[in-house]
Amino acid sequence: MRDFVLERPRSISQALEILKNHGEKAILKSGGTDVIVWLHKSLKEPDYLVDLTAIDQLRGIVMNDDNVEIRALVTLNQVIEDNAMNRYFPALVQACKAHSDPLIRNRATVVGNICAAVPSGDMIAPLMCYDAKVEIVGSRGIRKVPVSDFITGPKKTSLRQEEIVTGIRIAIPFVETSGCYLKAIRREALDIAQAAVCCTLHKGDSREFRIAFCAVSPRPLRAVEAEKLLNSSSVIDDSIIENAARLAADAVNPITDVRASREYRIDMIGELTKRAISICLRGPAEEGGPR
Amino acid sequence: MKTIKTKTGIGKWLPRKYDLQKAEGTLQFADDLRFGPELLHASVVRSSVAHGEIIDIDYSEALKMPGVLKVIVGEDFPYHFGLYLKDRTPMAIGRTRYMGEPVALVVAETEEDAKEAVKKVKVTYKELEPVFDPVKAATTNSVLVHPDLHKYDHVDFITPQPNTNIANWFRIRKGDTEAAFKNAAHVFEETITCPQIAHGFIETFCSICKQDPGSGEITIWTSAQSAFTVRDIIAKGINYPLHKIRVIAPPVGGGFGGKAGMTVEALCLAAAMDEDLKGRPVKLFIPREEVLLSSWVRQGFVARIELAVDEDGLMQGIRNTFWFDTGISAEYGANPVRSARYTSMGAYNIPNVWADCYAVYTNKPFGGAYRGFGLPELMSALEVVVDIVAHKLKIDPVEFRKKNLLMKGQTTCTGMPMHDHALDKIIDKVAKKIDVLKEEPPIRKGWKRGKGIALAIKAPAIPADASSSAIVKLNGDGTVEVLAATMDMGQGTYSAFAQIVSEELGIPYDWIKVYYPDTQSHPYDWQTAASRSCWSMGMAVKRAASELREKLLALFAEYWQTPVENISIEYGVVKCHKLGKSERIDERVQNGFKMPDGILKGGPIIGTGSFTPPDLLYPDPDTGQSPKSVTHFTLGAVGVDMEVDPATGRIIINKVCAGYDVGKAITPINIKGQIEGGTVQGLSACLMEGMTYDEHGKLLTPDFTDYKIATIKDAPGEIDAFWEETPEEISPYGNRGVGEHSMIAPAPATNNALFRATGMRIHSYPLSRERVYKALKAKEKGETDFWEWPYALDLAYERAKKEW
Ligand SMILES: Cc1cc2nc3c(=O)[nH]c(=O)nc-3n(C[C@H](O)[C@H](O)[C@H](O)COP(=O)(O)OP(=O)(O)OC[C@H]3O[C@@H](n4cnc5c(N)ncnc54)[C@H](O)[C@@H]3O)c2cc1C
Repeated sequence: MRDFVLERPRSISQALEILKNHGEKAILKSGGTDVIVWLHKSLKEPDYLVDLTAIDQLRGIVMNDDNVEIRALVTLNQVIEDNAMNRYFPALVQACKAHSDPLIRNRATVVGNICAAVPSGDMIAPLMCYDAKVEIVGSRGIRKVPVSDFITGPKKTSLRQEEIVTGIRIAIPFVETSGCYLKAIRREALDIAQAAVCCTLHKGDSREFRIAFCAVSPRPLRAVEAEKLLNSSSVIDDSIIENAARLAADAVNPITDVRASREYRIDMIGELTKRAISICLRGPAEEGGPR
Repeated sequence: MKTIKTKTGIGKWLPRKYDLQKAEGTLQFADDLRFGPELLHASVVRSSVAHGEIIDIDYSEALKMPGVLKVIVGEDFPYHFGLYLKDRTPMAIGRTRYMGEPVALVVAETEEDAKEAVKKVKVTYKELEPVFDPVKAATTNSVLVHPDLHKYDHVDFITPQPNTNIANWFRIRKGDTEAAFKNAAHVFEETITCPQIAHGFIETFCSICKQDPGSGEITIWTSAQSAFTVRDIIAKGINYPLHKIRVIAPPVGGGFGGKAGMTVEALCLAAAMDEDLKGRPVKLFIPREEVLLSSWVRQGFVARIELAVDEDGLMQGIRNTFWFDTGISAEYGANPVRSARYTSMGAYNIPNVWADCYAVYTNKPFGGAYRGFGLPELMSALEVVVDIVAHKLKIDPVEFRKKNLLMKGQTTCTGMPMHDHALDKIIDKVAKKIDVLKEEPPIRKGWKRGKGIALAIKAPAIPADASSSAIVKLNGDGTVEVLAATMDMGQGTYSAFAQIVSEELGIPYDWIKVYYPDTQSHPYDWQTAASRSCWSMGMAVKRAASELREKLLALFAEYWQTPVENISIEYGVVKCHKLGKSERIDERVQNGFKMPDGILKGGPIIGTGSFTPPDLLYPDPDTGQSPKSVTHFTLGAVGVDMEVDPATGRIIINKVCAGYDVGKAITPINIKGQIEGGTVQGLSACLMEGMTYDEHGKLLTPDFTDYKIATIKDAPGEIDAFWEETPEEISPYGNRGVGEHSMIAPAPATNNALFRATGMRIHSYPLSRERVYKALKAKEKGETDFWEWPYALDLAYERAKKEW
């Protein structure tokens, strides 16, 4: 690991100032569970490491009238332990539980996960289903970007230099809701997804399914066709589920690598989609469903 | 009459030595040692090609980097090292043989300086054609990994074949196999493969070397299982006097065979002995991403097994060929080949055996010692083949195994008579405990459940003269210090030695301390390997402790003027019931007893003991026959109850039942721990482990991001561990080795259970989720056997579409 200067700003404005002064030479750190690994492997060699963890403004899950803010320093364990999160966003909570292990989850943040923008990031699919907006602050002010536009490719985001993500905002669904996150992995903990499916169901005046994937496309992807089929069917029986799963599998474009082959990934998307729909239909957040 | 009393002797369940320090974090591993500002740091430049001539190494830019003192290349330290075969140089000389091989060493004031400078070294190669497939390497000779094989020194019990890639060819010719096959009612042939796998120990490699510029004496602090073997290999490698090399081995954070011989010590020494650097200690710490490239891993394995069975279901002949993929060095890896060969009949009585066993060089990181030493690979194949045969003959798998069992007096494949054991009883127990023949409905909806059984057998594959010695010292407060150069790396041998000493001396366990090895203070021990320590070193410790006891009792006998027989040591106190005397052990054991005649006698009391296997004979090289090829076998059986989700390929192990004939349980807590740990490690190898390369020979699984080992969540729901005690004749208390054996049979038992669950036989390990899924898809198309040639799989990456 090359030497660097550690900066610990205490406010967002200080942090922006530091970014402005050092430009490309600086890199942000929240939980550090990605960044420190990159530094250790010399994949990134910044001159300045800007640690955001001393900025109080970035802390906390904040409930507003019709939305919730997951601020930048919120860890996965904090999401898992939060009552409102469990009530309104069960699929996000399950995705947090499917991420790494309890120790890493104590540091890793939701925002860090989407900023790292690897296709296997576990937070991406649930945030896609919940239509989350990424809130960004820079010297030119504040902007809000849907997650789907925020991640532009593997390890690429629309974040500009001298910008910081302050949090993620999600609208609260004031209807009965269920959701789940199913992850195909090589072992039961501490693994990067071979493929994963997130499914949410809002049971308001009209029933709305949303389905998104992990690790099977370069950019975040919703299963538009499958959702259409589900949302236009008055009764959802096994054959509709089968068809939706097939449409989901058709929508993805995974690679073959050391973790899994393209073919296995596609098949798992089909299988997990099937299971995810059934779990959502069965009821609110189902604990420990088959993974 | 027994002269001692203790509550902490052999067979007792006690808290283990050093566990507390480990839990508190105070135990110092090699990387924790501090050497002050004198310390230099080395970092390795590694080859970026799998096979190539080194045209040029340009390190001029590296030398300009801050803190850098020197860059050393292969030619600067041109020595060959090796335990059984000297085929290894610490750095490539002229030619690099695998991607990741050290080609230069940068030495700097700090670790960071050294690492930064490594990036500035430019190496130019002329690429040569590599070979990755061991069968191709063994059978075509189109690429020679070691053209100089004929020049390498080796011990006389291995047989390298010059001008080939075969580093060792070991064979068995027992009986008339040809006739056995000709006359057999049934003949079967099967092939099974295992990939290279890694030990996955938590402590990576770390060595610190220093040479005294005046005396030339070398001190090495290193993360090593076998301090004396490191000393031997280095002395022979650099042709240096043994007495001028001192090896200190601090506690080791996991070894599993990966630290059994010499690992990175010579590489570090290349810097410490450099003319410009010597006098300053040099540290070489190997980061996680480089561990699999820095020492051996478990060898890849390809087995072809043919079995001849008669009308009555009795095995009459076995003919097999084993190719062990030993990567670029067989210096240690030549021996698992021998180990597997000794046991190529499995646990069965087969009168006619024909076997060829090869260690084959390929352009990959090298293979060597790994818990089980050739047997997990062999039994992962043989025990599946036996199951296939039983199924095809419509004999139940338990009965088929039992009727062919190798019992006392029948001969092994090397012609040695088998000793007494309780394997038949163990098989019965295992079969009953998991009700192996009973089909039961799956616990999980939509899953398929199956049960399987497999046997384990292994002997220590030690050289015939592998010896141990120990010193036991009595302190002036009645406590005891034991110097036994075994490494306790978690298996718990120091607890066992303390219990042995307590058993022999009547001194409580808590008063007994066992120290980590230092070749300067400790007497010689060959290695901590081969599940030999409680047996071989156990013998030395027992002898040393008894000698000490006899000396102590003799002094008290004279002091109290009573025959020795009247004196006992009870819970640390010396007693004579007849005279009503009872005294603590005190400073008299240091400075002598004032005898009734006023004269001082005694002085410091120490006991010494040593042990060499008394009757081993190397097998005949042409036939593999010997009346006593190995000291003893440990046998056992494993039953697995598992279920599989056909829609994803995921396997869950409901329960494992594992029993072994350990001879005598000295430390039951360790035996239980070894059985449980080995079971999980065996299942991990079975279900997920394997080193994967791309088509250029680049390791795709260099660290734990993609090299997966089982976590606690992958462990079986229940492990029922038990043991039998049929005493071993030549042994301190009848005990036999047990450390490695628990790793042998879980994989084939699981594979057999998978067959019972699904009707599909998978011939390639690991049974990863993706592979199981694919196999079950093939089953739907009518296939009954599934096979993925591991080397063909490498080629799949060439074809893989990377569209992003
Ligand atoms: C052992 C281990 C297991 C893991 N397992 C998983 C897993 O199962 N699933 C998974 O998806 N990931 C996994 N990861 C990766 C990692 O933990 C996650 O991506 C994590 O959520 C990142 O959060 P962090 O706070 O640690 O990010 P950091 O490492 O702090 O940062 C990650 C990236 O985000 C940027 N960044 C951070 N905060 C901000 C901000 N406020 N504004 C702008 N940019 C910012 C950083 O510059 C960096 O580029 C694992 C990592 C480890 C070490």
